[in-house]
Amino acid sequence: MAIDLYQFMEEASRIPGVPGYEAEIGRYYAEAARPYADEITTDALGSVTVRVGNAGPKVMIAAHHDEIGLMITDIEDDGCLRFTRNGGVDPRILPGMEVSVITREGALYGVVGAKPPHLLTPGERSKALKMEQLYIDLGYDAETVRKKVRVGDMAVMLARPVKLMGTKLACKTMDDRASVASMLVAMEMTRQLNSPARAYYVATSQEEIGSKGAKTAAYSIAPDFAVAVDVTHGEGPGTGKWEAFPLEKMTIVSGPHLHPELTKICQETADKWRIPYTREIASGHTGTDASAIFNAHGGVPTILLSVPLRYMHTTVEVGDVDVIRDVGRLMALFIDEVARRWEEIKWY
Amino acid sequence: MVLKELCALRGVSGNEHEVRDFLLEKVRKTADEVRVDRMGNVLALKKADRADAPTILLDAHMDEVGMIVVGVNDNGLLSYDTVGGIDSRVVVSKHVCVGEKAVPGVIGAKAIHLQTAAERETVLGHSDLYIDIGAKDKAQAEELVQPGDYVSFDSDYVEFGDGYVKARALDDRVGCMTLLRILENRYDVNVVCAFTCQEEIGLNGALAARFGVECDAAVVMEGTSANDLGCVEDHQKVCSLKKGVAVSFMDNSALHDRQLFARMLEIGREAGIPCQVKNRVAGGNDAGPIRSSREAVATVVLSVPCRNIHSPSSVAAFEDMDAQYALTDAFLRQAANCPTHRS
Amino acid sequence: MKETFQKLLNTYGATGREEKVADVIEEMIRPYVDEIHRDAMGNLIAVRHGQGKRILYAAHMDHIGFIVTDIDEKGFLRVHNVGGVRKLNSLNRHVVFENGVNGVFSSEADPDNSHLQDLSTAFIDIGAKDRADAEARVRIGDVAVYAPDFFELGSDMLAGPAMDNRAGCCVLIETLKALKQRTNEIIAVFTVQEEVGCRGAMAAAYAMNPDLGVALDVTLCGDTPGGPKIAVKAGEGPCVKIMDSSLVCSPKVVRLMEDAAQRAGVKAQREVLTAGGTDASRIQLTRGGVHAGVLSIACRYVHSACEAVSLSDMEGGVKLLTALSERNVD
Repeated sequence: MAIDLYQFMEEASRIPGVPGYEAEIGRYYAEAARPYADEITTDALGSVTVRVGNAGPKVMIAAHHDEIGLMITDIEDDGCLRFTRNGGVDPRILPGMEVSVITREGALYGVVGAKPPHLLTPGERSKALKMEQLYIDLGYDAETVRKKVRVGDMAVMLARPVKLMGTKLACKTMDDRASVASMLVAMEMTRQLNSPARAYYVATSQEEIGSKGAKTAAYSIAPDFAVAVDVTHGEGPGTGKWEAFPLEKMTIVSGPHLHPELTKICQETADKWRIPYTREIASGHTGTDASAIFNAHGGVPTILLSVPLRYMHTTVEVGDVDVIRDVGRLMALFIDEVARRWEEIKWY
Repeated sequence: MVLKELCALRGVSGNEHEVRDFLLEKVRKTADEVRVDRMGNVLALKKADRADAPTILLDAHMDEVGMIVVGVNDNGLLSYDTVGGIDSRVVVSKHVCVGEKAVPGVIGAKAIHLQTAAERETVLGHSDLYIDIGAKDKAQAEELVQPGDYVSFDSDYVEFGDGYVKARALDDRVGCMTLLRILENRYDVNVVCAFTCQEEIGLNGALAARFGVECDAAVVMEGTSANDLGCVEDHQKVCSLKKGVAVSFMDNSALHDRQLFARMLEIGREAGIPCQVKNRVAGGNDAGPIRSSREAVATVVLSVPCRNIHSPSSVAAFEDMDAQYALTDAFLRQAANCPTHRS
Repeated sequence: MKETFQKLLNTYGATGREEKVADVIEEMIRPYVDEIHRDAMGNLIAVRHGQGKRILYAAHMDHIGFIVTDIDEKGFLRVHNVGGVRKLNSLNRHVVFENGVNGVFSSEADPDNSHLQDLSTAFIDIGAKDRADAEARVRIGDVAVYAPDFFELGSDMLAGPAMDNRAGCCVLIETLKALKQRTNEIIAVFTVQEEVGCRGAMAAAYAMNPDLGVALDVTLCGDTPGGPKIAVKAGEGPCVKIMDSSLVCSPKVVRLMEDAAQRAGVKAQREVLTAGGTDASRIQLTRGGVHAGVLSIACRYVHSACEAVSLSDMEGGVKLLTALSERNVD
């Protein structure tokens, strides 16, 4: 029973889950993982942990399930909403964006508006729009809006997935639900391989505002080693040398936050199973959950795998579905390898 | 609803055949005479119920702004030019359809993480943006697309809020809808409905259409830009949604007939049809070539206010569309007494 | 409450130098708590026992100021900021040291205003004749704060230095006094060093290992001409924070606080702040994670010598917090 990655992304991308408000996407992940799970827990920050396996070294696998979004800051007298970002939203993608405002009574559809171009002064026209110049139009008058919407309500961007050529998919929340999908691929394999490990597959919360969920989950689990999965930049318009990677292969990341011996074992495992990858270097903070996990609890040897995406933090993040599957496979094979060789690994 | 069907049609200026075919099928059921001129305009005549009646020309354009593929790059990304005026800000992170096969594509932007502080402040121009159909290289892209393919916004029709709709191409499918409704009636004036092409790239269709039609007055149906949200001052709003049909005294393409302008507002007031005066001179439209090419004719423009015009997510209110229809209908019912300017 | 507040405002307590204000608070709360101690950083930690969950309240005692880095031969003191104190708000202001030495914060002449943020041209004048005279009264490492100088502003507001965060301290003290039931284990922490990165709260929360944490602090106020863009007004009730730049509050805590406000009959405001941070950000990340939230008091002119808060907002805050403490929070 192989997971249908298109269907997963289609469904997962429709579920709102901005940092701090991941309950619904967390439930979806838990349901998807239930067939493989020995135990499922949710913590105070909203991370959902699926344990697969009852004995052996503890490995924490982390992919975040939160998405970047918006939060309502004010309701104007003409009924439009002002907002700020929750996570790294680029305001330049927002004009004309469809959004869903999550209110007490349910979701409300809205469109992001700004001053029309032909009314801009030449000075304004050459400058990117800032968050505070934009508004959400709900199509209700101020009185109705004030009844429905409260300051502090969340909003998410709306966009349906688009299948592009080959195995490419353009979809919102590929960052990082693509990696969450890869965890589901991996946990199925961990079961099949009957790996002698206790694998804690964590859909972490609040990554987009500083890997908060990964930090507290790592404290609770106290793993022996860890695998973080996130997205990285895919080669595309304007990307520079060595900061972006081909979409058709995952990256295995090396750098000071990542454990050299485990990274080497991971590369060897990929070579052995002919899983293609590119090497990516993170010279310091990886900007991922890996950097929140590796220094938890006196140190956790951690590796980092990444899925290259074009246009990260937009609603048209483009990635390759085959790479998502490869990441899942490599993760499971790597965990299996490390667990079986556990006693003989030379850590340093 | 016919608007939903109209907005689903892809009709970038110069490539309006989907819209034309749809309109022809509709107007053949209601009009007395229908023809397509050499420009590609659809002209539908509804005769008066009496002889020597004056003729009123009604105009709505069928085309929409969009893009055209100008080149396929080695990395498989498509470079494009705009067809009509599109602010590059509204295309980022949006879906498009390319060519006759409607190949799905997206327009992305460099990730915010990789942007310098200066880049974050600058507007991405169309030349910095690309259409991504997921091709791994030029050869693979060329299996599906080629330069010259027309590109349209791909955006769903969504009714939302209290009587609003978000859709692509509301400018000017709202006008097309009004003309389709008018053609269901018969008046004591002759009504020529011109569904024009290529408005968005220079009002070309209307220029040709005007040459094929003798008329005593012309009314142009438009969707026009509304800037009514975000706490803007009244004089900056151009027009506002839910305040009725917007009547123009002047656009960048024409100074309209004073009497016709006043007449429209008067009819609206008498018949209780919500009307507003478009309070900023912004945009041009088919009224330009109609008013002053060939013999001069009295023109006026009736517009449905649209937010986010020329974007995939334009927004309009149904009651304003109804007002556009109602005012046009009321005008035609008494147009026989209209002072004509025909020499 | 006003009396408590005035006493707190009149007491010295700079960031990193909180002992005096801690003494005053300890004295005030002793009759109302079961245990009280200070940790190695100077956090004042009091516990009022109860059966239910462990609820930690954190109000920081510290006050932004200027730390003396050098004393020149003429007796003028050179300084560095401790916390987000701004030169522009401080020019030619009365400041005071822990030992009561008065001074004037000033700056070298700056004709083109190019040094408005630059503390290297700033100094404190304590009226010393020379270096020896100055050194007899002030040592390097001493911290000066805006001198106490509060006054009534209209019928409901109080303005002056150190509202950030003696307002929060005052709400917590009055809550401890008001508590009747013992529904939950209440841990009241008066934290140190919030203004330099919530350092005190981090250690205290780890030690006390709570189930739920609420920070009490001031927030910006959007009701002055061209003021900060925030939908919060002074006098419209205490604020339940939803988010600031340091954390997204736990939706569970937001719900509990709004529910408590309703039951206490207090009108509360929902606060989204696009800047700033509070102790809650550190409490949230303690150990395996803590449900965290913030009760804020709207404050005009934050980090100036004329911070202004509404007393009725603070009274509302006490009622809200009391109701929250006395309910089952499962």
